[in-house]
Amino acid sequence: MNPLPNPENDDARAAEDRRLEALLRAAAPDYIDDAGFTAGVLGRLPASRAVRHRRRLWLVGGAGVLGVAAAAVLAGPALVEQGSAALGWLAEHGQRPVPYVGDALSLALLVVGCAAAALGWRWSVRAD
Amino acid sequence: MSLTDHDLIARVRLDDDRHAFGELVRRHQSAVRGFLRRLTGGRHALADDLAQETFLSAYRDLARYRGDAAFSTWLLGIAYNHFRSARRRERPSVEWTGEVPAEELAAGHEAAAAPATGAVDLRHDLAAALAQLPRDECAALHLCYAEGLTHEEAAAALGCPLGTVKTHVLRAKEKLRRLLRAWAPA
Repeated sequence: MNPLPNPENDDARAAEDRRLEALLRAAAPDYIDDAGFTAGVLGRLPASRAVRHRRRLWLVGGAGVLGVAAAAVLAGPALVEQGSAALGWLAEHGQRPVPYVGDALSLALLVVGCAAAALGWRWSVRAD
Repeated sequence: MSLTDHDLIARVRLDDDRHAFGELVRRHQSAVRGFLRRLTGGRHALADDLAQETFLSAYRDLARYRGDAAFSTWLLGIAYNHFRSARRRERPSVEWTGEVPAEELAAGHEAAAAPATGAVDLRHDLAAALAQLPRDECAALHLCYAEGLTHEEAAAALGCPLGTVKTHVLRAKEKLRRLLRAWAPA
């Protein structure tokens, strides 16, 4: 059976509750002086959007150039020969299109360059 | 006229304005650091590290802040999450929990058992008693009384149901009442 409510006990408990709550409010920590905290946080922020954008452009451009250069180096002297032949053929025939060698090489180098640039972009996004 | 938090947040979002973010940090650093100092039991260096992480996370996730709660409440929620992660990481080596042993609850806190005089002593004993509370209860109590948040706001910050916050507050007050029994008026 539940005990009968005792108004005196309830009043005492409510008063104790109020006292404790007042104590807790009064015990709120004092204002903490900044003392370089904000500067520390700002110093650890990631690079600004403009800087990140510039860095990304450099990365993508650099990766593209590097990709093309790497593809050319890996292809070896044959590529140089084919390139020279294509250039010679172009010089001989004026504006007429190269049958297939120059196109194929250009396309391959373009694909490699684009792939390298895409990888550079992806890496720079992940780094942000 | 000083800008509101929402104005500053808009500037950070739109223009990546570092000065605006710095102003937000300046405004809220005391509350966040105070909260974390309370949770870490006065380990100031650790609390400040966690507070830095809190603001860095806030900067990264500012786009996710919807504005349905006060910015300070949102920050305190991030701070609490960082605290919990740190506690999980360090649990094997550091005792973070402030569970009050049953026998101590029954007997009353030692510091409170020897009545001291003056508000400073009471405040010290209160701090000692708060340090003994489980962290969830301590966090709820701090947010509701020291920060003046409503139970709903505290629940949002702590990421738990409203009923849980109310229970934490009730239990914490009950424990404090026992721990500080010696201070009760005759």
